[in-house]
Amino acid sequence: MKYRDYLLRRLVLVIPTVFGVITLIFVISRIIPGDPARLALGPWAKPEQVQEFRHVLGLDKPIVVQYFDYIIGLFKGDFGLSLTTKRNVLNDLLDFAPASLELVTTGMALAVVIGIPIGVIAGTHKDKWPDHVTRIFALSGVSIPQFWAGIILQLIFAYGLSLVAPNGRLDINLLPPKHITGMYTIDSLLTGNWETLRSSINHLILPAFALSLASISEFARMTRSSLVEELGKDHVLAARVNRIPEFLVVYKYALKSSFTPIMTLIGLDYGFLLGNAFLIEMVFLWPGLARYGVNAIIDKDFNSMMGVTLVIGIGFVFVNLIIDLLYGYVDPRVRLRAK
Amino acid sequence: MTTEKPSTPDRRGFLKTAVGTVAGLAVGGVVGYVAGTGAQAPTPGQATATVTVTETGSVTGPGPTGPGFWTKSNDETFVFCAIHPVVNTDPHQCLEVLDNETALQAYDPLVVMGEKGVKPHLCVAWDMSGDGLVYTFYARDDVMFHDGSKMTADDIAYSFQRALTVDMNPVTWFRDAMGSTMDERVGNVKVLTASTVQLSLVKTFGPFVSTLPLTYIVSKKTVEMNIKRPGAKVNYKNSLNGDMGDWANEWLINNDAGSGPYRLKQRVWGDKDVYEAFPEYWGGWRPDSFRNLIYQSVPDPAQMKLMMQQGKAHMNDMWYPLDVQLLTAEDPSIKLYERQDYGPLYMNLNCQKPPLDDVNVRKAIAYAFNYDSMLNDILLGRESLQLGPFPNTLWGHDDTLDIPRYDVAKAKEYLAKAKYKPSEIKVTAAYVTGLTQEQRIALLLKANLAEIGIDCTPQEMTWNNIEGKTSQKDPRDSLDMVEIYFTNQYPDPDAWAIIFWSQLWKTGPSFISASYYENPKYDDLFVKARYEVDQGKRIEMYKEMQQILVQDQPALWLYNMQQRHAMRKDIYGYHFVPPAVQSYSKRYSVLSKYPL
Amino acid sequence: MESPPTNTLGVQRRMRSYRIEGISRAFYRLRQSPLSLLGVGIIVGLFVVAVFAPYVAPYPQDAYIAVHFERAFHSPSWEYPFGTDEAGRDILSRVIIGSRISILIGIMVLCVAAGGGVPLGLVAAYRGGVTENIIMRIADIFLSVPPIALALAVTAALTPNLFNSILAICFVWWPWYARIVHGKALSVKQEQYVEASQSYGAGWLRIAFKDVLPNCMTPILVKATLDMGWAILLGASLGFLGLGAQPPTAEWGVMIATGYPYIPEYWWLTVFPGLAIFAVVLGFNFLGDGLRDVFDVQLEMR
Repeated sequence: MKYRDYLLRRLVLVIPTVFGVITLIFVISRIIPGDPARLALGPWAKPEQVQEFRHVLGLDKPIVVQYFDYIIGLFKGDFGLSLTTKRNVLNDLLDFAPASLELVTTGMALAVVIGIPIGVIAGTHKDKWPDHVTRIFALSGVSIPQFWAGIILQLIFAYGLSLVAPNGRLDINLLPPKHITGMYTIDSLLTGNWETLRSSINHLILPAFALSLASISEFARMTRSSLVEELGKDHVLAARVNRIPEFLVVYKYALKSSFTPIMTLIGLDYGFLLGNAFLIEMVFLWPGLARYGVNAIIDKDFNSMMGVTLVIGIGFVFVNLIIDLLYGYVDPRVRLRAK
Repeated sequence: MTTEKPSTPDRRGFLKTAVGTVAGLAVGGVVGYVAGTGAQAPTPGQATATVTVTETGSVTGPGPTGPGFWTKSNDETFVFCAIHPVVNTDPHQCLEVLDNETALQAYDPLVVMGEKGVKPHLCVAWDMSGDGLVYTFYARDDVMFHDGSKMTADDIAYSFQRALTVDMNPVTWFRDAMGSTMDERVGNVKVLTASTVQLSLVKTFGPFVSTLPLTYIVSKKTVEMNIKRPGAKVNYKNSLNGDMGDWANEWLINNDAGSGPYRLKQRVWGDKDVYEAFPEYWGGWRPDSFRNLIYQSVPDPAQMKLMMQQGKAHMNDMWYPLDVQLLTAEDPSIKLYERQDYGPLYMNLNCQKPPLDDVNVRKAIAYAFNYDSMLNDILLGRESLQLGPFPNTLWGHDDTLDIPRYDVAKAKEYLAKAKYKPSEIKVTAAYVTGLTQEQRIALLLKANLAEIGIDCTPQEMTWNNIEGKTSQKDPRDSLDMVEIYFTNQYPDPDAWAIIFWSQLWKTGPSFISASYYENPKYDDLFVKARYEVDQGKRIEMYKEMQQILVQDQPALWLYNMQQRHAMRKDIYGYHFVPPAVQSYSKRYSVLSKYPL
Repeated sequence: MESPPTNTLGVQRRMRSYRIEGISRAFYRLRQSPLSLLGVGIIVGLFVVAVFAPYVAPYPQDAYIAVHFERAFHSPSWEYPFGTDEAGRDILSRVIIGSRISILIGIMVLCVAAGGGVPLGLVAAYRGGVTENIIMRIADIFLSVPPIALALAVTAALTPNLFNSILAICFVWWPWYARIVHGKALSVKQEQYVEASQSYGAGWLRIAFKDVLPNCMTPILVKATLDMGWAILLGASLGFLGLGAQPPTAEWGVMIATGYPYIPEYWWLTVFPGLAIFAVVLGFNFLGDGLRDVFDVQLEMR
């Protein structure tokens, strides 16, 4: 089928999936036991106050009505009241999302910058000791429990060597830079605030690295296998015969063909990192979306839970969509199979 | 046969090495830049003439007044590590202990707690009428709010009316004495003259004045300017003031309308709250006070330790685990401040839920627990055992009580009398996540109870979950045993006696009434003592109540907590006055890096 | 020389069935890879330790009721190789007995997820039409949410404990199996032997389980091996967050969480349980990696 048709089909399928995610999480959040209104008002609240607050939260309406109220509210920008922060969940999401974005993007960048060269080394020295070492490295990176890796890194680099900060986003006595994107590193750079810049990088390194561990392995392995495949091809042989230096052969001729799978892996991993950032956020006390979400679940703050899962879930859906579209563009067989 | 091309000085190879070196240097440079921390030399103190700081934080003697006092040379910041972030800065909605502490920096209450009882603060004195029903407060005339307006009786009355309408802690302590409906209560707040306010009660309430120190006075002018009516999430109205919309609740979340020494400068949600000194504070300043205050949320004890040791933080919260506090204080630049507080830890026993509904089972548990092991091994000898239901050092404490102590034989004796067999007894002991002392006490209890054949399972829960469970209307849906610190009270035996008042859980169950205890004689005495005004008579009644509680054992009396802070050695001026949550000593304008 | 045996039709009979020979060839190749053997070694070691745990552990009672506050926070020594924790319990014993819980998590998740997902995928592939659409759409929805987030949400809705966390992980896992089997079954469906079975009147159930399923086994097997490690990791993560096994159960994730406030002074409380998780997951990954190379299977990574 034509690519345009495939595109349309795929886009249309997104809508029921999104609604499915919303409904699933809504159902889960409403069956959580406990009365959120009671908790928010504290121990001395009288039953009438609790009733009134329940009314304010809309909890006394039938669940179907609540569902539609919520959906409509979403379109108006009203994500409901968070019980822990006592404000519109949308504000919370806007506050915490840039933090998570900063973390995940840095983690992704580290994964690419470290993982690909490792993969290249492994690929060019196939079956020799660098390859084996890299393989063990890669498998370790994927096997290590992320939260534990974070703790070990803290022990060594923050507490042991005092090189970097163990937790948080910024030094205690510094105020955040002016809010432009919400990402401290970029904002400090843009406002020329060097002390804040240094502090935010100091705090960002460890969690980003811990987050990237599994992805480094992924990139290394993928680069390696793709490179190995390419290096066996004829055009590479031809380049070698023509005495083109090995360095060029690898980077210019072989690696470039690996470009597409690398891009798709970046996309895939981005979604993966977004979903897995919260263990890192918990250990490093990074005030991001994931940590906000986990605390919402633990504190049974149903609106916050919905908000966070919505953002992450929908983000995931769109990332998958983009991957599929890319695949569809690149590989015609995918389009045909989808018929 | 091919000839090898002679290896030319490989241009590409050279580029490779050059780029590599530059990159290496750059990385090294960045690492160094990032890891390097600039140490700031402390600014020298200023010589002072005689300045005294009273117990309630007022400064007498030559001190600064007027703007422009703080200059670059004495612009210092005090950093406080709190284990939770601040939740609410609306002064009439402070449910948490920390919220009250931060409110105390920016707001003043009418009266405050001193060493020997309640003292006037925003008022110069107060009168109580002969029948104990009318309290008249005479306001100070030199108090200026942050917005520049002068405080009058109007502001005081307005604040009480607002507090009674918002109707949250701590107003709940005294609201019932002021009337049975909100309108009645609000109506009982009257302005007599420009500097006199009258609060009328509908029935006498012994502890009344000691429940007032957490009701803060706000500036009527500022609050009125920032009321949001249409589209407000919450709506406050009463018969006196009318429909007040959200009564500035939304605005107060990021701003303050107070008269206290510090002004809320910025809130970084869930992270830190920044306060800045208000030079015209009516109570006066030490010349070497801190200009800025930062409440930093540091939930991780290890990081707190690091921050304190590195000098980036000056003082910490009392809620950090004991071991971490002691470890932190091992550093030579840190000292430990300890003072006995009214902070008993109870293991509440659910008296309505089998098998704990049998007093013999409860007694057996009380005698099976190894209190000495708790004191010496878990608490490392740094606390004191709780000698009964009410705090040891509070007036009215009965020193003759027969408290259970570790006696396995006696425990088995009680168990034999119980209507349940040991094998039938399965209980859970709940404690709060992150409070490691509580966790270990639960473990100890489990081991101790196993000795007499009872199955006890420790259960870790978040505070919110505990609150949720203990708010169940039916006691049988609630927790079996739960460890709770009761520090958030006013310094009157009534505050701890109310825990065991059956009306509390019958009308509105919560974690406070987690024992679900019911004894009509006790309830009777409680109400009598509450509305009695004569101190001597009240003490008699409280002693009798304590005897009843010791007999019925609705909870295990564990230990009495110290107010404990680790602080930098060069922080002076801190003097804690119990109880924790009301302590005026938590106002950090009295602190300084230099001794007086 | 004896002539090779022939069957009734006069065709040479093989000494062993083709399938068995394929498997033995695969295992031969597996033996060549030292990493895979290492993985097998670790896994076997894990199972042995788990089965004989109370006999292997020096202080087995420490994993259950015993508390010894007077010997809390002892650093690793000959007497307590992994040190003691905040209640004076020997960490080595707790780690050893904790292996039982991890194995339990792994096996249960696999049984339920595979046991549920595989038949669903088969049915979807074979029946096609509306059934297929419904099953695969539901699988898609579950797959849209990041696995840990979904496990979290489900565990939080129910009371956090070990059983519910296993349930939650199963909830998250079954779509993968369904999808893999569905994909493979779709292609196998076209094969000739399936047509042959259909021609002599075999019902679709029989075809699905007798002809199609065995040929999907290789990707399932590889995935199951890898997944055992992931399930253990996910279980430990939930335990760390307080949404899985509850303290004072000696589960590795829980032990790390309880020890966390005490770093860096008492680092051994968190380091050793984590090392155990790492080693176990590594073992499964080594083996799974080797298996994947051997069977040369194209798999979705997650």
